[in-house]
Amino acid sequence: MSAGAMNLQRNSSEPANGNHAVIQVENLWKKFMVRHNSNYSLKIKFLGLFQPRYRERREEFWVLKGIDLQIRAGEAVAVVGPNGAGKSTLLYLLARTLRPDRGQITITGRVAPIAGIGLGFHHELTGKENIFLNASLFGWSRRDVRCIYDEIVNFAEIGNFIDMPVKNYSTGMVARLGFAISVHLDADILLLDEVFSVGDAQFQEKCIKKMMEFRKKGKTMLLVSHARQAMDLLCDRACLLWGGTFVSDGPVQKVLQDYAERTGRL
Amino acid sequence: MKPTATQTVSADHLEVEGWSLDSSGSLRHIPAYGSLIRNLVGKQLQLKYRGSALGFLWSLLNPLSMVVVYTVVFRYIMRVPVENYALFLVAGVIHWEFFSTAVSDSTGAIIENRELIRKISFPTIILPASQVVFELIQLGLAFLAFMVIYLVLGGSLWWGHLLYPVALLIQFVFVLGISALISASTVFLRDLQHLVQIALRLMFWLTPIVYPLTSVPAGTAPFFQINPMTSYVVIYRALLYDKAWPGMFWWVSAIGFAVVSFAIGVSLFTFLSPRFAEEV
Repeated sequence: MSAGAMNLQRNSSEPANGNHAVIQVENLWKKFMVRHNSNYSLKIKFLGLFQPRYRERREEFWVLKGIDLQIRAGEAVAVVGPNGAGKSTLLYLLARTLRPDRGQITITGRVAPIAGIGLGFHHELTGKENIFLNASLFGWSRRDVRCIYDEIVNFAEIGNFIDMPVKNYSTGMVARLGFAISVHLDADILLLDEVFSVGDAQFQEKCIKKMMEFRKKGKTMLLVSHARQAMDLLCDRACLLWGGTFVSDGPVQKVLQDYAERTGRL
Repeated sequence: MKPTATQTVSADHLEVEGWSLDSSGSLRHIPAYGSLIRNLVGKQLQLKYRGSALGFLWSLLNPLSMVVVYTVVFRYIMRVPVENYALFLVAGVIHWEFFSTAVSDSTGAIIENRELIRKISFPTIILPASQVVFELIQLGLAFLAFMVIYLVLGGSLWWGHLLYPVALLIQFVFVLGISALISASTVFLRDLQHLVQIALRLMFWLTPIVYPLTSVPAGTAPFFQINPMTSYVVIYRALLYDKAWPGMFWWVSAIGFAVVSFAIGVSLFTFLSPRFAEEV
């Protein structure tokens, strides 16, 4: 299995300030089951006992094939790669909502809820209720949330919509609220999944400012993105996920160039 | 534990220690259980009654309509020889409602929270548990309504009422186990959502709620005794309606069912929960 695992070449541009690794991923493998004939129904499952053609066929699909990654405290790392390369899966694994099939993840510090589109909101609940729910799942008491509540709402620029069910929000508003919650929870590690793809330019700028502030506090960030400019501004390092492994790791410009070459080649 | 604790997650690690331990590694970080449960229970309340004018009253009107219909049918048409039939019925119905609503709502406890489950790691058992707490609160209010009617109709308090919270606690543990079991199983077997509805309907009529246990045909008693809800209804009715000691047999079986249900439900939940985020 290690034959398929291409260990990434670590670039020398890593900060040499002796910061310890807060995220350490060793030989991480993750598979998904692709199910054919799967509709979770008893009848079909029963028929499958007698007739092979009704039997569920499972096909393994390895999304991540032996990933190694080390992120030090205070680093901001961009994960790039084509759709379906496993970028979001990696975030889920780091957030510990998905379980690795092989390998090990060691995380020091608290991971904020993933900020991403369509994640973590109950659509029938209002924005306000969602803020409290998200924060309490993270371990905050209602009293603590009340202290940062206004800050979150102001940052997200939701205005009066905050008392309306999230189902009435625009995509941009949902993304803004998600980002606002994640950054205000005072976690050590921030996971961002394509947050720049929906916000308008002005909000993006605001996000970037906030994230720079975040970095100054020595916090760590991992962002999945296609937004070149944001990556350039924020990250000192990028990793290219390709075919289940990291094939390039280094300064953002260099990795994006590698990425372009690979896409061009195909 | 300090919040900066290092956590290691790996496939082997999980097999040895069980993912639940790891996943509830975040348990250490959740000191604010009160807030969490409150938010989740509040969420239930909002989801159930948002936008309805009568709001919470619906949870009383539903069993009430049942009581009215059954009283008319069984007391005045079928002429079941039971004194104060409405009270007799309510003592059983409100506790049945607690069970049946919690069970049927628990089918969605995990699958309807997929976005939360994928976004942040937390002890997911809190989801069905908070649902049961919500149903318990509803039962509490229904019970208060029952007591008011009971006293108005000339009923009097007796020491058996002191045992009511004990009985409630036992049933709570029982319902908690069943809810954990069903909420986790539904993730992998969606048919349960429909199956549960049918099972509940059958079970309602096989539980001595609209009729007294004494009126079932001789020889069928063991069949009723294997139904956990029988023991709860018998105990509640003895305490709240007959003003009599229910008998040790029913207490033992009530506790037995609660322990078994809780043990099976929670262990199955713990076993299945690592795969929730993938499957929901």
